[in-house]
Amino acid sequence: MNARTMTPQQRLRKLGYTTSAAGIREFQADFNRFAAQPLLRTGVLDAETIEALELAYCSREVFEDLRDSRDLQRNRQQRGGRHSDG
Amino acid sequence: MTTLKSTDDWAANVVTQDDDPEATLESKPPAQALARVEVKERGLTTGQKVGIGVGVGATAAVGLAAFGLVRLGRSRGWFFNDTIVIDDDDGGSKSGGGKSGGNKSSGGKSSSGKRATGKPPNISKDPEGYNTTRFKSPGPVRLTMNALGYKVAFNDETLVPNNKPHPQVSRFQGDWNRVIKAIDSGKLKLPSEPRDKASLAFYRGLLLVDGIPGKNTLNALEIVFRNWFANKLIWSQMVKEAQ
Repeated sequence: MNARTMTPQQRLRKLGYTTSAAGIREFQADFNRFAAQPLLRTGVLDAETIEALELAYCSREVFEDLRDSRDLQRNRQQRGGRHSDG
Repeated sequence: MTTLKSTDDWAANVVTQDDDPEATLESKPPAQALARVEVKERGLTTGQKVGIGVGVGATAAVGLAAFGLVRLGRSRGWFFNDTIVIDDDDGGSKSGGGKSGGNKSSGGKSSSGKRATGKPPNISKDPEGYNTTRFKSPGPVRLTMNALGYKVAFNDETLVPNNKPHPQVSRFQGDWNRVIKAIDSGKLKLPSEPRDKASLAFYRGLLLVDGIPGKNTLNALEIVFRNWFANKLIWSQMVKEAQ
């Protein structure tokens, strides 16, 4: 698949997100951690989000590492919550 | 007459001839073989012998020059498709990160400690001298720096338009050097039982503080990033302890 001819939906999936509104919002939130001008978390592939997707895709090795670390932290917090409830 | 298959054969033959005077005519370079046959079969005049001697001498000189050229070429990788892995024992001359610019010269040596010498290693072993898969353009370089606490805009524009040094790149380069020297001096202690011991060893080498994100700087960025994930080493904390 040629990176230049990929659709935004394909880029989203390649980055590990779903193409649903929730998946798009998740990407927008992740991108906003590094963006000088945050994206609106609309859950819609607007022009700014499409541009952000292109940038994230060209940086995908780094972007995915950072996104995965966020998931790790979230999992640890969830596990910590269960222990304290139990 | 031996047909030489490659320049390697030619070099080998030249060496063989010098080392083995019993070598047959077939193994000698063709021009010399022809010269010997000529002297044997004719009754030559003095002038002819001198002429042949000059010719043989010239041929030998050309042969030696060719041999030297082949040896030089082999050392430079001109002839054989050897992949040269740049392990950063010097400053490197090519730029890294696509449009981002180049790192021009050595970062200097420290006279003390084991780590503060040479350059940060190319842990990706990418033959280009830095991780061209990870840092294929300025975007991922900017994102990495951002994630490590260096405030640069996240876009895909070069960090160094017209090779103008970027202050945040200079800041990272200076921080890296301070951290490496602090590890050497014992001021900064690395974990004694890290998850990934090999990655800890990559904290070595010094950078030229020139504000240009060349190969060595990109390698250092990758090392810091890897240790952040593998060994949970927080770069900003390390920089603070190295002050």
